Amino acid sequence: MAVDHALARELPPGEGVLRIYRWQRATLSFGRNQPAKGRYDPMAIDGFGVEVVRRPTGGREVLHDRELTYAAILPLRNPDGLRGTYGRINRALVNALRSLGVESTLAPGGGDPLSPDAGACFRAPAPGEVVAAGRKLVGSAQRRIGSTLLQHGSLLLAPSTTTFAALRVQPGPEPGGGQGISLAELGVAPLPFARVGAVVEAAMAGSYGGKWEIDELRPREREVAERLRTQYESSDWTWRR
Amino acid sequence: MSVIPDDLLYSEEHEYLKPTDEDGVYLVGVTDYAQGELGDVVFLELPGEGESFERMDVFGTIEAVKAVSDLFAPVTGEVVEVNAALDEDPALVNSDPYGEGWMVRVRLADPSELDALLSAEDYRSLVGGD
Repeated sequence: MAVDHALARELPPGEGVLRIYRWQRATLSFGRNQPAKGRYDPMAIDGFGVEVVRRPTGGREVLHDRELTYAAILPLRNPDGLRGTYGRINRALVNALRSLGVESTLAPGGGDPLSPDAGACFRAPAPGEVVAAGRKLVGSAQRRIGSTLLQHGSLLLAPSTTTFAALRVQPGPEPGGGQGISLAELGVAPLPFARVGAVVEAAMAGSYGGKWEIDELRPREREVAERLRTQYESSDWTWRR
Repeated sequence: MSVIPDDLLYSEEHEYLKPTDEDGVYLVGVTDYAQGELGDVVFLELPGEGESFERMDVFGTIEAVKAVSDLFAPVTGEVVEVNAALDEDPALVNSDPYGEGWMVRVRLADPSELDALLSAEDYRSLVGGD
């Protein structure tokens, strides 16, 4: 989270960044503003060997377990704007999934907007999110940081080994709970993480064009990430609400 | 087309300042253009009464479905009232950004900062191309 935030703060003019990663241990991430205190149980989270963090981006909780996370960092004043960027990235992901043999679409608009306390991110698709077989396959959320846009997304590769219910203060199924769907549940044979990452990268490069290169963190980005790490590691921040 | 009232002042970060009956006290909120770009507002994090901010300090955040944005203080001043109605109904920012959707009432510390804000005409040119 600190690295993604730092990349957004330090984005040079005329550049964009796509960062693709997975988590060393299963991690529960809360949205920037969602209530977690009194709803999730830190002891249970620890007991299941799950890490916990609060993202800079909006939306609701995600269990990063057998999934791919991406962070797209772009100038806010791009021709698409906030909402258009959301659509463009999700359309690129639909193309990426098609090249893996998965047919997905964008969830239709309308319905009541989901507030940060409306239950887990994958429970219900927001308009424009990537769905397959009627269930959410990619969850995503955004943050405007100064003149930069940070978009986080999570593509489910296989069902998680832990359930949200086990981590909650009051265990049990979530009310009204649909759930997301993973590539494995859609019949995709297990793929190396790097292959899925490469497909996502190619689809994004195809959508945005320009010159793409693999890069390390620059010294200034590393320095800012190190400073922000204190915030993201602090339990005051994680359990702020 | 966004509504941009002529009698308000605007910041490049899409906040507005609306004069009140009390001298030096203004209502601050986000513009119709900003609410349209963000989409349905679902949550606001606003400061407490009595808090003071320098111009361009982050005074809160606004979350619209999935997007969180910082709110930047358009002027230096003290928050004298927070719009409690937004706690119950953050969507007022969408339905009535310049009326019931105001966010904070601010007592201006330095009137000369008003000169740095945009007129309706300037703000129209800023967002007009979008």
